[in-house]
Amino acid sequence: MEFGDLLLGFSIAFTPTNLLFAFVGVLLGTIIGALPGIGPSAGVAVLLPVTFGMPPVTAMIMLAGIYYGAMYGGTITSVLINTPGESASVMTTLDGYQMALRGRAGAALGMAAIGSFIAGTISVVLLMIAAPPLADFAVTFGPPEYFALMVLGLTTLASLTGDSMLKGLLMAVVGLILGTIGIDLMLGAPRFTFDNVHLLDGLDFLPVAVGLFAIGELLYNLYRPVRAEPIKAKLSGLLPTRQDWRDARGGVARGTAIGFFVGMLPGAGATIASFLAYATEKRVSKRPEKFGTGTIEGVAAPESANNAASTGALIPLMALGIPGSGTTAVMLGALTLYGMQPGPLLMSTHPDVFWGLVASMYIGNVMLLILNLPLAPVFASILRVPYSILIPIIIGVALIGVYSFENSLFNVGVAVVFGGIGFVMRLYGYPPAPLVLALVLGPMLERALRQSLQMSLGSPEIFVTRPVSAVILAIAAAAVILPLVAWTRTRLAARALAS
Amino acid sequence: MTRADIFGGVLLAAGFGAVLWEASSFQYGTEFAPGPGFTPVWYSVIGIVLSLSIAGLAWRAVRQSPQRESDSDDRLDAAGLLRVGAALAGMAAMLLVTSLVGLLPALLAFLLYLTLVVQRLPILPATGASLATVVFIYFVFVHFLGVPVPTSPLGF
Repeated sequence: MEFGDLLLGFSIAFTPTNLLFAFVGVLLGTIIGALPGIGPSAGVAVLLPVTFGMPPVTAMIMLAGIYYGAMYGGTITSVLINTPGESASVMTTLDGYQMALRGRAGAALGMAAIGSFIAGTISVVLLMIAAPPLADFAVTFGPPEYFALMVLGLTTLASLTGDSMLKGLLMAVVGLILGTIGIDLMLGAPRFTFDNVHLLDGLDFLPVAVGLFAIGELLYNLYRPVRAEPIKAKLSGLLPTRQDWRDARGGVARGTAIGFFVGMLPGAGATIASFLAYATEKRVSKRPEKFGTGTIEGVAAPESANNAASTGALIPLMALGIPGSGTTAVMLGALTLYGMQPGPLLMSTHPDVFWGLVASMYIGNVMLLILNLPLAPVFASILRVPYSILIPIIIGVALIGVYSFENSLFNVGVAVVFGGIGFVMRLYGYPPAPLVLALVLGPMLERALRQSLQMSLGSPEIFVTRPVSAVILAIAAAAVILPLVAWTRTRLAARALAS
Repeated sequence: MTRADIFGGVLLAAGFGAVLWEASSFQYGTEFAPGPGFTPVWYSVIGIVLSLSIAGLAWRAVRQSPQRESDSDDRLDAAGLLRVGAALAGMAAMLLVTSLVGLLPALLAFLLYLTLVVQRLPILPATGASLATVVFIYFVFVHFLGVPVPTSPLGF
């Protein structure tokens, strides 16, 4: 990293247009995060078409703003209605809602905003330090290493998402199969096109992502309406007291470190980071029995972690071109739509995009702090808009957004079909994120696999004889095998206890 | 794992079986490298194994604790399913009539149907939300972004 690169980034981020869209991104992100049932993946997917007329750097600034803005917004619902706005805020409900019941909603929201700001800012510094050398190292990667990295991303995401690892892995396989639809890029043979010209280029990720993340979720809310009744809590006293700060500062520091490193791992993401940060905080606390009754460190740690993780997740995306979550998968798709080749060369071929994004994140975090402290009551009032009114608005924008992607009604049909599929998946606990990630990574993974086997004249040994790919594949195997071992041991122990 | 997972697992295994059947017609490999059929074949084989594992685990779980099936959480809500089905049918109908009446009028009709018939909202918020959405879409997508939406023979 050179200081000149950062200066270039700030010169881009400080243009009036980019400042405006960074503000629009974090504002929309906060609102999306505050709405129960609409997560950052759906928000980024639905709003992606709005960015089509923009320069790529402006679009990425806005989309990233939505992503990390949603992490802030999710706190509001967690604290006020005991319902996480997105999955990364689940842990915040435990102590945040209890604080609100005791009349300390303002302190919970304030501490979450300040913790998120500190975590977000430190993570951007770490992103700036870590991403360029990783990209330089990754330039030496060949197809086997890329194949191994993509397998790692898919297996960790599938293993860690949802209640059942098998269901996550199964959804990843479905996504991989959907990714094979269209003309085979190496030999030109059509696959699963059924003589439909719309399928020759394959299934686009955007209609699938909007269908699964947005329409499926809205249909589920039609099926089981959200009853969001915010508690009548005083939101004054948003600035934490000296005692609050003393109690929470360790949690903020540990949450930031955990969040950033977990977010950086392909597939782990903000939700896991917030779980780990909460568990760690409880373990190191001198008063663990108080957790779940309204401790401020129980809010500060997971909130710092989920914000740091959303920045950490940009490292595999920007340095390797490998998304680690549903939202970054949509952002990877966005990069390709803007004509850029995600991967280690992105920073040298499009330094404006990477450094402009990094600089805008410093500014975006300041904007979020300013927005969230005085305007927390305004965002809280969004919860008073009945969800039934928001459903038609979001469905309308989602459908037209998908249409505008390629001016194609076929894509709208695909989104509707995947909306129905997404509803059924939601109903039976099949997570959509591995499917979307696999759909985005599928063609790249297949190309890397086939190129690798071409290099080795068909021998799969190439994946284990090259040290980097061998190590990465071993980690991927561990991500699948270790939970299975733990599950088997638990069952054996339970059986022994029963007998 | 519930009884639904047994049916889901078997259904998905059948789907992967169909994919395997179709994929077996693609060229599996060339002299030096895998062909277009290589990955679909292996993906579908892995899919069959995983879906049958889910079905098997669910079957064992149901057999061991059949009382879970009577839990109200596992039961489907018929009225809710009707709402979802009606919404999906409305979206399909919107797509069918778009070429006749134009995209924005079709969307407005769908949103009115969704809010008034499916969600049974009061007339004022329902029409307000539907109209506001279509006006917002017109200004952002058609006017500002210049998206050419299909229009009716009357030009709107």
